[in-house]
Amino acid sequence: MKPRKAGDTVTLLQGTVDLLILRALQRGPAHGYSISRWVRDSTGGVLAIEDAGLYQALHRLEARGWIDAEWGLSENNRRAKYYRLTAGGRRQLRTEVNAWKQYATAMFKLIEET
Amino acid sequence: MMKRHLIRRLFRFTSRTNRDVRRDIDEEFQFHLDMRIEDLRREGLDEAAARAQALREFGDAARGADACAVHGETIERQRWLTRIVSELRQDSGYGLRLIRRSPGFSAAAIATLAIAIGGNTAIFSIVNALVFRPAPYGAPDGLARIHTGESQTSWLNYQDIASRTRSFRGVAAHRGTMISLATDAEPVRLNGQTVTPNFFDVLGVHAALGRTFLTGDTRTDVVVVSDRVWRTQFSSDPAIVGRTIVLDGRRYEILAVMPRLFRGVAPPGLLRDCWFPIDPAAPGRGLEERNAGQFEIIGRLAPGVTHEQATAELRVIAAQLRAEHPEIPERFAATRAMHVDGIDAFQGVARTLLPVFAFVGLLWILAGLVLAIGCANLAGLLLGRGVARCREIAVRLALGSGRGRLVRQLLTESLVLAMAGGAAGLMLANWLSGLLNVAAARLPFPVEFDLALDPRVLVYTIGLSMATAVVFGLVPARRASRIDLVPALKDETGGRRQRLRSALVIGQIAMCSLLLAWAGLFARSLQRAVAVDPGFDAAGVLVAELDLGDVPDKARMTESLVAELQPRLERMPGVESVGVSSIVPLALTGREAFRITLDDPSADRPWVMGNRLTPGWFRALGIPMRAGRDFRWDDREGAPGVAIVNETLARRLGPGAIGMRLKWPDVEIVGVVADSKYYTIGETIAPALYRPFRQHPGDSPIFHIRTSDLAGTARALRAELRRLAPAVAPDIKPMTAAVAVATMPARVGAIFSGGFGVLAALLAALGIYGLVSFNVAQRQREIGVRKAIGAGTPRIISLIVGDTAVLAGAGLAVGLIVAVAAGQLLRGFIVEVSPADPLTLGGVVALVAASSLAASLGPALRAARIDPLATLRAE
Repeated sequence: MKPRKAGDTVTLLQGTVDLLILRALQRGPAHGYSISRWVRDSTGGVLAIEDAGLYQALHRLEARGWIDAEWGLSENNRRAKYYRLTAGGRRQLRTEVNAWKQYATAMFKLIEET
Repeated sequence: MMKRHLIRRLFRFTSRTNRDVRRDIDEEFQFHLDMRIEDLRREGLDEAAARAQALREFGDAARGADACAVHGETIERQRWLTRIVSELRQDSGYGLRLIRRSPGFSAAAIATLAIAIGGNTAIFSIVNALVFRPAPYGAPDGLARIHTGESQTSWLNYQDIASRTRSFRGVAAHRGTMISLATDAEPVRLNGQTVTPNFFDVLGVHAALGRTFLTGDTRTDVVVVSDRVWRTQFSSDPAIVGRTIVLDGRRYEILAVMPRLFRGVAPPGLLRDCWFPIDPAAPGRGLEERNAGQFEIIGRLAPGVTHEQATAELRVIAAQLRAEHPEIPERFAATRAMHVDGIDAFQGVARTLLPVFAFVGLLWILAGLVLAIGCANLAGLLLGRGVARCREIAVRLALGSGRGRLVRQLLTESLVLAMAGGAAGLMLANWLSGLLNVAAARLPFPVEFDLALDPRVLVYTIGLSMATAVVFGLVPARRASRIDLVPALKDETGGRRQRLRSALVIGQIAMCSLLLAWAGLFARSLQRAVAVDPGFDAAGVLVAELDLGDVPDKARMTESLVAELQPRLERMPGVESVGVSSIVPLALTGREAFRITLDDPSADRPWVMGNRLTPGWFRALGIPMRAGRDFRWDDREGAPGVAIVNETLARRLGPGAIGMRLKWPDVEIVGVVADSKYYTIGETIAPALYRPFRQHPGDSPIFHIRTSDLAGTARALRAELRRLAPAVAPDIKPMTAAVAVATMPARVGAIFSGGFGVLAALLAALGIYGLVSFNVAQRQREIGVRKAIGAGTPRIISLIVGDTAVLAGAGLAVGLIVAVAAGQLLRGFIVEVSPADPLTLGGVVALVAASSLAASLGPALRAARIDPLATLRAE
């Protein structure tokens, strides 16, 4: 695994991958590649998840029951594994988003003050 | 058919292995890489560069896959669980719906199961009460019965053991004794126990009401009563503690009432009525005799001491005592500590209770046979229904339902049925086994079994229900799931499963014939037993047992009471003759067996049955004298020892028996009487030796009074006793009632096996009816064609009934062969009837033939009414 160049992308904090996945799936069922694309594209490439880690997180979330998986057909007619939020996942997303907002607000307050 | 892989497949709910999981992960990763490469190439990279970048962005694929696989297994496990739960819920919901949708079938199935499972559970709860239920003591594992080579130990030996042992925290002695409780009306006889004051401490039990006497208490005028006595004699008086009652003419203060079903020290089922302390100072009880075994002893082991260690120590003490007192017999050296629980509790009484165990075992076999028939019945019904549901099942299979899944579904339906049947059976069993206590209440001693539902019975019933479901459900379910789709969907069925149903019906008829044959044997045996001449005439004889209770110098008091009372009785109006014995023949209350020693030292020592009599006993019972004389009143202590023998013993002794002297007991034979039965109605006559009551006074004299007015004489006897011995509670009843016990095994056997037999016949008839109706329905077309080409009603009926006759014939043959072969099992229970009794076997054949005919006639008539045109038009 090669270290990414500073300024190019931001190394993700532990635990944020889960939040990103849950957030990505809030838009609807998606396969792993489209989640990866969405994260890259919607942050303008600032945030990028290493793909092996992304899949690990997906499977972990599935085992915890926050997301569900099902094999389906992709846009180019290939078999692909689609993930979707469960009710538990939706709840988890809400709590994590709230926690992040509080955390970010606190961090900003601190940074702005100095 | 039941191969192991079948079972494994049946319960392997997950279809995905670890390798499947791994393959999915690889495919998912591959898809990702392919998509990324495609996108990058669209952005202008060449194939190699795009692949390199995609791989770089992906990171460590191998490690990622490993991590994913771990989560994947967790996911599979969870899915497996949720799938089982939801399938079970789905299937049992479906099963319940089916029960509601076909109430007739379900009611028949549940009733069959309830009867079959109920019968078995009832028997098991009796076995449970006898063997498995822990004894009602505190920490029964820490208790030990101390067996000193014989079950009873002398007071002196008890005291020495109790004071020397270190293995026990406490050792208690107890002795059964009959005692009379004075009431406003007649005195009541109670089964009491005289015990040492530490008795309740050693057992670790507490009173339900009041406080028992404790170690160190010295009062001897106190008594603890049982719950039964409290309820029946004192109408559950809550203020009973402190009340004074009169037992055997002495006043006692009631200290406490024990909890229900507390039985002191006694085998399960046998109860005791009251407990009072031994008075070691009371004279004339033989307490000072080293070898007068009177007490049973039980000890509470010291913490950490095992029964084996205690036995080792007891052996040492026994050896010391034998060295100090050479008169102690050799068997004392075998002193040991025994468990009080389970089978061990029957040590000592096992021989007398053996018939009971054998009988319960036999009932279990009968109940098991009924269960097997019930299973066969249900399997037949389900096979039939499987055919009827062929289309439904075919549709499910066609829609992609797995066959394993289908088998599971059908089995779950069976399970729902079995559980419903088991629940009903449990209620039935509760009622059935309750009958045991009702029946036991008629025995001449207090008996009550603890039949309350406990986890063991519950587990047994649930396990039995589940096993039943698998037995009757698995084969039909497998059959149903193996149907061929195409013909099934086109509404055609093959005849292959008919063979299996036919086999089931043959099996049912076989088992039913077996049960009926046994029931017949019991009934015949009962008939014979009632007709057997016991050698005496019980009709018109009153028996009255008197017991002076726990009084000093009992033997002498008893003897003088007898000498006083008998002449008075003889003078009463209506009384023809009177005699006293120590044992009532055929009443199962006691027996005396010993070996006699002849003068000739080389002769072997024959076993004889003994009884002790006053003059007139043979006349009262109508046993004729063959030679010599009856006893006389002056055959008493001090006079030369005499004896009378029965003809069997006289033959054994050879010619000139009269006048012969025995070496032991030291008697001269003065008379020979006719043979009579002694202990059981089925026995072959044993040699008997009668001795005069006055030379060997027994504990409880039993008057046998031949009278023309049973009730009047009983009244007169009570009046006489009130004057002579007011504290004695006599047990007076007609001898016919006392002797009825002798035919009880045959009677109970006849009732039970008859009941089971009728049940089995009913179930088998149902099975036949089901099979034949089904066959008729299946062969409608064939029958229609036959009628169309000219077969008449008799021809059609004989066709259908003929099929049944073949099945019934096969079943009968198998059943009767087994019945005769296994008839040896009944040897101990049936009297003077051979297992191959032609009347019984003939009766079974007639009964089975008639019921099969009856069961198949209805469907056969239906077949005869089939309209050939209608069936052909249906094509």
